[in-house]
Amino acid sequence: MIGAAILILSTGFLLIFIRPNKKRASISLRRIPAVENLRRLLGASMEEGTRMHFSLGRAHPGDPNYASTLAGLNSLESITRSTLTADQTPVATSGDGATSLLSEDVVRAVYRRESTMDRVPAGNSQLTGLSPMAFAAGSLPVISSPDTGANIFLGHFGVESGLMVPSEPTREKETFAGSDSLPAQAVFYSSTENTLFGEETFALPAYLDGKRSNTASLMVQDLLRLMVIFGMLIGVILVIAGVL
Amino acid sequence: MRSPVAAAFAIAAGLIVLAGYFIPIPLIQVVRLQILDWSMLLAAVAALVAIFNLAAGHIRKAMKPSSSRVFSVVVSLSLIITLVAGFILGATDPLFQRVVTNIQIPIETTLFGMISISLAYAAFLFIRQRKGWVNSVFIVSVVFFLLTNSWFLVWGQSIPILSEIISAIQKIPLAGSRGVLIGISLGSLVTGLRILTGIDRPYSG
Repeated sequence: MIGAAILILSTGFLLIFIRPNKKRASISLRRIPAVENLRRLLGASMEEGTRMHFSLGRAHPGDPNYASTLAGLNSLESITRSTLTADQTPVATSGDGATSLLSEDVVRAVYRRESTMDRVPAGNSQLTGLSPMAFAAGSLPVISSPDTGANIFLGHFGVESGLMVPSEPTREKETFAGSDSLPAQAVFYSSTENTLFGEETFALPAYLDGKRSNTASLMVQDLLRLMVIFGMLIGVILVIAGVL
Repeated sequence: MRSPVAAAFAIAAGLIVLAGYFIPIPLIQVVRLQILDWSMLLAAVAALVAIFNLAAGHIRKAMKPSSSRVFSVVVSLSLIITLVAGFILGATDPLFQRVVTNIQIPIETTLFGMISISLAYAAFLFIRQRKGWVNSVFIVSVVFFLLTNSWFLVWGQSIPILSEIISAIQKIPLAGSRGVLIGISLGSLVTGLRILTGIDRPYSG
């Protein structure tokens, strides 16, 4: 029942924060250098006329780790929308069939809304492999292609990400990564400066697209975090007092 | 304009599956299991569609004259041979299983080996190129915790107070990773709620 209570409470907070309220002070987001670099990366890629490669990881929809892929799809939509004038459409790769179809749908939907569907080439989203290693190896031709100006990794990855992140010093600047997996975060941090940690991956849509719904999510996360901290402090006090 | 029907179906399916976890009513359980069965079936079909898409892409590349067409030819041929052999012999045939496993495992093991080299190179570049106090602290922490969690401090385990201090130090990385995981869990929870309430729709509908 505690789980259901947390869910209902979180939904309530989300619906409250999403409503327009003029009395509420505007939200200023914490500065994340990696996100600022991502904006520069996207601008440079557009200027050079190169394409953006978006890797969404290898989680499948039934996987508990799929939330990071959903956050990645949300960011893919924002980035596709903000780079509509680019010469080339973003290409998305993943290690799951459903994610591959969803990413294709997300990109096509953005172009369809702008009546420029004819610009999206066939095979724009690719399933590169179903096992972790096959996924990594299959993604390599897209990652290392001279046509690719920016590699964005957002989703669930494992240690296979060590094979995917370009290790050449010149390409390090062209890479941006975020994952919910601790091993992947460690690999990304050692390979690129533009790495998101922990909940930052889920906060990225709010930074890319300042919609109220995205900032409302951040407010709910902050509120839940405060509740967790408060709960932990009470737990510590109860343990010290010998109640627990 | 997005279709409200697709969103309504998605939200209803999500709510029923979620309700099934908390409400022990037989009818909801039956509907929930049925929806999960359908989702598995749809996921399998999606994988099949994506594999056909992959094969079509490689066959297209194999037709075009380019330096990298050989890779696409190999992928296309391997896919066709495996598919035909699988249909004729059956996926559970011991010979078919042995052949596929004996090709796949050595290749994947080799790739694992390459990851270790790639990571060692990335670590070398990290130490050489990254400047700033945060990165310096990171490098010092890595070396420090590698030493404290290895044989280096085994001698201290027999000294009463020192063993407790060593044990506390060894738990610091665990506490840090739990902190990161709590943030990820909260992010996952809110992302799930956004889908469930229809705020986010990762489908055009």
